[in-house]
Amino acid sequence: MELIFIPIVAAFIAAWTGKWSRWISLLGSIISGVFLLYFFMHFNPDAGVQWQWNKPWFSSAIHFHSGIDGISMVLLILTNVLCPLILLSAFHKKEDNALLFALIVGMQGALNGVFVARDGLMFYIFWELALIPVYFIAGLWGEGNRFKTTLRFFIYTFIGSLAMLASLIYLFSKTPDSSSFSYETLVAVQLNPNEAFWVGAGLLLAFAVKIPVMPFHGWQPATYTEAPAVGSMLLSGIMLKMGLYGLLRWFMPLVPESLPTFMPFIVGAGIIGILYAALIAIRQNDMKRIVAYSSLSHVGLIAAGIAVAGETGVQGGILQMFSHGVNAVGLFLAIDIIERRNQTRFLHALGGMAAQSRAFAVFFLVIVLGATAVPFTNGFPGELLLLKTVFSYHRVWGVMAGITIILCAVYMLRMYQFSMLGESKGTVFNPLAWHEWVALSGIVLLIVFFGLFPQLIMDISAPAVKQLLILIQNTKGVMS
Amino acid sequence: MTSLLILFLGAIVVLYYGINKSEGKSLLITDILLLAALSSLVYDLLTVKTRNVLGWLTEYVPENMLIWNFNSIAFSIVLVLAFLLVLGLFSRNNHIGADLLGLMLFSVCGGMLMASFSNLIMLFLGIECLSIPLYVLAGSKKSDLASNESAVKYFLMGAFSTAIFLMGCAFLYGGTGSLELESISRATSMITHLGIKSNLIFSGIILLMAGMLFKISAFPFHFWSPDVYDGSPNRTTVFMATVVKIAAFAAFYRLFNEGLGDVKNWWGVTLAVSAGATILFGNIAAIRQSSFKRMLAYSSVAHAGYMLMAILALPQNGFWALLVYLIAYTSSAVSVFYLLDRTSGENSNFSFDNFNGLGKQSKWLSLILIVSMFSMAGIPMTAGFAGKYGLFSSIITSYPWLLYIALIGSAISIAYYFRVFKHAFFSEDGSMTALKIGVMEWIFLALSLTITLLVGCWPAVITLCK
Repeated sequence: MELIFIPIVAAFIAAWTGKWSRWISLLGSIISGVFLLYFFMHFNPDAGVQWQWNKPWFSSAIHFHSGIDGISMVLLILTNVLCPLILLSAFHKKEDNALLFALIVGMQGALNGVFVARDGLMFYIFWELALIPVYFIAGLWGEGNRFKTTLRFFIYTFIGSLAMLASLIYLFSKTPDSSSFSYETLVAVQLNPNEAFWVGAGLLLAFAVKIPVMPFHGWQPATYTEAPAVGSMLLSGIMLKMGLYGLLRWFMPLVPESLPTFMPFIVGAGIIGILYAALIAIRQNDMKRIVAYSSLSHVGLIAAGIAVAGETGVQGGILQMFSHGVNAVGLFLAIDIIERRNQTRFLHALGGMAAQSRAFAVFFLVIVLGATAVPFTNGFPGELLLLKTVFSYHRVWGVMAGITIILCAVYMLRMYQFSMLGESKGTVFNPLAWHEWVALSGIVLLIVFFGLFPQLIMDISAPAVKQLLILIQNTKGVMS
Repeated sequence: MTSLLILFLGAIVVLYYGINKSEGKSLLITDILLLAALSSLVYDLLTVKTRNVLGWLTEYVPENMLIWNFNSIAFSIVLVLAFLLVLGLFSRNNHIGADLLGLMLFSVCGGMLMASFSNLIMLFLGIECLSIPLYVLAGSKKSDLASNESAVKYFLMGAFSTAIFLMGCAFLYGGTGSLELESISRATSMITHLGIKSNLIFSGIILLMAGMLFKISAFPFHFWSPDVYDGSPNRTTVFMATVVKIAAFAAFYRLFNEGLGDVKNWWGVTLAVSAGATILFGNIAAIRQSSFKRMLAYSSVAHAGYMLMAILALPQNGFWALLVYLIAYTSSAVSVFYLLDRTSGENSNFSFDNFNGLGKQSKWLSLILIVSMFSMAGIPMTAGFAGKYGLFSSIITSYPWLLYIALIGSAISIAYYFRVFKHAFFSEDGSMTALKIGVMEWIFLALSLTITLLVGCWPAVITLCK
């Protein structure tokens, strides 16, 4: 509740305040984080959904129903830790950018709304709302053919969302007396296989576009590349997780009947996506594009791992959602820092920056290693669990997915090597500003800390995941 | 009833008053009239439950040709509110004379008749009373060729459609023996119970439907609307897009749900096909428009298609969905047309380029443009979403395929609604001359913005008065 409204109110105030905008936004963002910290301190992972807030909203059927369980908690932590860092990363933009900060913090509110929603239509509403700030961020501060790119992005995701809306309304019409959109009632709806297929397809389309899974990724590379750094961070760091979260929280429990039908496709598309994106990433010259494709590659694995619907896979997926969020934001931040100093982010024009700034070289290296899933960084444990899941699902898929680690190392280290090492090609690197220090060290701390103690995150979500899987297996007895 | 009398007699007063008095005063009188009518309607709405809906007017109106029930009063309120918004935003800068004001008032009276008729004769009178002033209003920019053209076009098409409608009335009379809505309803339900298929009634229904589809500009009778909308002066266009549409839908809803609701299986599929085609046609045609005004005209065709879904839905769900959608569409369309009117200045060039640089010009106007466009596109937290949600959820059990068409249409609509953002915010050349907007206009803009956001964030506010 507080997590939704504080950032949104801060956004509205910030939008009209001009040069104070960035401080107000940061304040709103941090207050929301403090509330989350309070919730976290009093959070009992075993107690199911907590801090529920349930009031009739649109009508008696559609409630404003928020609540936090273990899975939500992980993603809320991700959102509320990253958003202040993203705000900080943009702090150098002082003039004429009041709106940018407002949009970022508004986005935080909408994302929190997505992750706490316990009502189908409320989920949809925040799902759409989260789209709007990022549309304007990418459109107003983007580069290249930004209007076309952002429009394509919006239409892609909007079509997916509408399909989801249709599925949700259909499920709603099947609840007793069409009485409620609440999560529990929607989960309890029984569908025949034909209905389940179409409802499942609608939901899956929305999530597959957002994740994005392989054939629906058309919007992604261009949007990531042409959006400003903060836009790319929000998109890859947090927004992708909306899709994965939706897959886990809404698609799988709502229509488990259709899961056996779709599972091979999600796993297959995810793993083909891994290879496809990794191979493309190796050939890229634009650093942002490399990260965009690497993102595509990583989320493919997460989607595949979650879709198998086993405890290891889901837990690994949640852990990896968190890690990938941190890593992707770190990568885009590092690229933004480089680009701001050199006015270019193309590998052929860069080089030798490690000698100019030791600190940055170390930060960047840690982030790159995190993204490559080296042991003792946060990328490793999640990826291990996911690979294990996929391997036990099918050996061939497992081996193919395993190649991703090698390919990932290739393109990530290539990026690092070409940009930071070697001879300087006239690149300059001014010392890091204070807000860059804070943002970078925050991210590096997260990478190392959760590399050493991944269990902390898994403990938060474990009971909720167990419950969810029981829900999927028991209510319809389809699985196993 | 009181409100209708207030407006009708007031319109005559305004006309006489305008002969030699200044424009400002007749405008003031109109505003007062509208407020009086509005308060009388609100009074009616609040008391409609406690007294007999036929009430005292049974004594005055012969044969109950009008019935004021909750639905018709609610539609009338929206109608008057819409007119108030149009008048507030489009009168100060456009030198509106007493003659035009009088015509618009008569037209609104016609709309109220259409919302509350209980006899086809009264519906016909309402349609005529609504339309005839419109033919004049469409041509009210006397020196402009396009305006004249649209008036002639509208008049010829309108005359034909009215004739078709009358033919439908005659057939229905032949089939059921009555023009009373109630008797028609009784007769048709008896016929369905007996399992008789009456071709006379069936063709009557189809002809009536054609007449009504013309009024709301739905496929296949939509072809007049882009030209007429484009050619008419902005004030008339927005009047047609909001007030006329509300009245036509109120009549359509009452005729087909209260009169012919029992034979829905006779006309349901036809209407559903028409709705689907309207949605697709309106949306697809709107993409390619280079003129913002024409785009809005096609989009209003598409909106009519969405609203047709309400007539196909179950009566109560359909009514609320339709009401919310009409409010949403009106409040956003009025603001958008106003922005178009102001940005295009004196010339009649309504291309998207007019909006270049609006983002740098004013934050509030940008906000209004964004919210209105979002509302039209059906993005959550705006009234448009509440309306679309209501329509979609009321149609899903009876016509799922229509829902999917509507969703595809909504997805397409993003392409053209968001195009204006490219010009307003993303384009580099911001060479817009500063707009001077009066206090009254700000108030009305704020009012429509508030309605859009309030209904969007909390649609239950509409159903509170239930």
